[in-house]
Amino acid sequence: MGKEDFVSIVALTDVKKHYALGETTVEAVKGASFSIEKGDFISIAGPSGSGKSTILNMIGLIDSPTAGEVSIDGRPVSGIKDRELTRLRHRTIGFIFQSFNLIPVLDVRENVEFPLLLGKDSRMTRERRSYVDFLLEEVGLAGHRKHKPNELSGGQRQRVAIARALVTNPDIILADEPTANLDSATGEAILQLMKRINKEMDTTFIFSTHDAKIVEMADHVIRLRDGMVVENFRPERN
Amino acid sequence: MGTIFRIALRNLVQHKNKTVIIGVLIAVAIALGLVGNAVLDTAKRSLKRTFTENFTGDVLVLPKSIQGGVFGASSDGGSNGPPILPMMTDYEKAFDIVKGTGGIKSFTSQISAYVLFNFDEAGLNYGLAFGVEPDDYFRTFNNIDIVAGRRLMSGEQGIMLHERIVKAIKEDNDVDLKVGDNIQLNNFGESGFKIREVPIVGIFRFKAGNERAFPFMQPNFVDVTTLRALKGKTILSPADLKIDADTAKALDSSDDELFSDDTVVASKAGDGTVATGGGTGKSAIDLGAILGKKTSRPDSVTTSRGAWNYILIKLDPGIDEKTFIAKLNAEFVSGKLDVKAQDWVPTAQPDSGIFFAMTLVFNIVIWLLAIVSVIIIMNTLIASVMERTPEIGTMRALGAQRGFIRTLFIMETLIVTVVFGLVGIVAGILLVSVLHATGIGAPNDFMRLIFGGSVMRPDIGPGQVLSALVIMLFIGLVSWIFPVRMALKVSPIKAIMTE
Repeated sequence: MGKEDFVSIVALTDVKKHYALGETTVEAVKGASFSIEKGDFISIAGPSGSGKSTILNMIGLIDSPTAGEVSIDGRPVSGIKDRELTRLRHRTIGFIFQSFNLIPVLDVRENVEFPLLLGKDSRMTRERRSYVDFLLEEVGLAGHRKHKPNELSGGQRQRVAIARALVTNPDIILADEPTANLDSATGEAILQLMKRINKEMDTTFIFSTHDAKIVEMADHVIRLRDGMVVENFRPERN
Repeated sequence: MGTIFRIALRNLVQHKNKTVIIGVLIAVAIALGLVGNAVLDTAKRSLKRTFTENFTGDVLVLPKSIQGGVFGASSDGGSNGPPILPMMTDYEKAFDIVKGTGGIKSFTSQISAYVLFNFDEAGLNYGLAFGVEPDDYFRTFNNIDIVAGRRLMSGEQGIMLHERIVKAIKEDNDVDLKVGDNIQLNNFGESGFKIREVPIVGIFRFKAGNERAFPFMQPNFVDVTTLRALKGKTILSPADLKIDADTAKALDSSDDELFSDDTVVASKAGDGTVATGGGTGKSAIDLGAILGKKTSRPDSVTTSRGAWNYILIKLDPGIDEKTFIAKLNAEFVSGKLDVKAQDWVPTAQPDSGIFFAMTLVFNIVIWLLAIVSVIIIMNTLIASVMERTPEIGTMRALGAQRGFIRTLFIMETLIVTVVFGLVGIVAGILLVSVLHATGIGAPNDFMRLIFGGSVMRPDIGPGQVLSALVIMLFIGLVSWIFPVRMALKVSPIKAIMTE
């Protein structure tokens, strides 16, 4: 597939984000512009405070820019009301959180199934459950369906989060520092899993990290510093 | 909805300490409310029974100007303090309307007045007198047990004293009253100070459950003629008044002749009249009746049926009081009568007023308890919202609409409220059953009046359960409002920001 065939799924145009912090204003993002193609495995890299999480939040429609425009699948999202934004987020975006953010009272299977119950899923319970089980098998947790989150290791929890992010079959999966709370081996295994899913399901993965090793696995890197895009490149693969 | 219910239920189980604290509070509030209402409702029924069966009847007809009822509460006081109750100027017409109205089991008429018992050097005492036609009255109110002597008979002048007033007089005045003794009654009527002396024909007590709080509040039964005279009311119609030659002569006499030394010689004991005479004659007449200025007493009734304050009506079973009262009042208005019909509540003042004030205080306490419960639940839920901010943020990030979050918190509150509310209702029913079995003893006369006897056995009915459900619903509906508003403000970004 040639470069000209890629479809832009996310586009940021001169996006700025300012926060009020006491009496001062913090400029977290200072006019970022880039686009992400469908099927990308993209790393938004940069040190702490560079604005990567803020950009990820705006792409994930859980924060809005002070200026500029964020477009998802060609559609500008500024001015969309909360209800529609929530619906769009549910339909288009999956989240993998740094702290896993599983719902503590639900077991593994219910956690993965949860996003399906928030939308209009016409599948029967059995059909839905078997899809959830398939995803759990994919992330290597078939034997942990009935476990509660507090009975799992960090890596297992993040696998549950990945399965949960995939369950609505979203176009984009956002992962904010997905390996930050994991040891390096587990972190790498998680990244490999994400990469495999990216290839097999053509799901766009956008993850933030400040770990150089993880950045190396990305096929598109956007590097930030002080709220500005300083690099935007696709590493050459041998 | 199943998912929300499941999450809500599991959240409650996971935070079981909080759940139990909130739940116990709700259960206690509901149970207390239920028991309290059961006791008060039983007391209200007892109080109503006490008054309607013994003092007021189901419906009372009285002059519009009387505020209160048979005990004279809220009416204007006379010159020496006690109330002077005006007579029914339209008694005749009111009587005919009452008589012609269906649904009446029986009715009787009555006068009330506070009188002074005068024991000369031994001092005075103070009591309430009901002036009645005994046969008529006791046919309607079969409410006394004779302790000594006998019941007053119709056409007879005399008084039946309540045993507590006899005891109070013994204690206060050191006068040991017995059946057959004469007792002097004084009253400041509208036409001045009146004195009558009557024999004590009996001493009685009310059957269980109709004792009033103080001895002076206990009614004593006096023949109506005596009480009318004490109140300064006309007791004979012109047609009934037969004047013999001596009387005519007395009326024709000059003031000097009338009030010379040998005119009024003595109070004739027992018949309540004053002998006129000296050398002029021996016949007994009521000077008050003859000499009273009728123009100054517009409410005096000059008929053979006499002057009355009230008509007391007992209804047939199944007759609705409110409808009956409305019907009577409509007829009174249409006949332009200066009378009104009312039920037992204003009639039983001040006792009913004290009771309803107690009920009001209790209800205020219960609602305060409910409000305190709401505040505690609200605080706990707010803490829960703060604690669960990442969870709420995650749900929102994953696509949960605000409605989902709202429903989740309402569901949690409702589960706690309904489950523990029902526990409270069951506990309340059990407590009431225990109280019904053991009984609640009345510590004093007023409580005996309210309890309808020395022991009250509270009952529970749908009304009390309904009122408990209302409190439960109030707690459930109100306590979630603020915490849910807080939860709805949680942004999905909170999920990302969680470390």
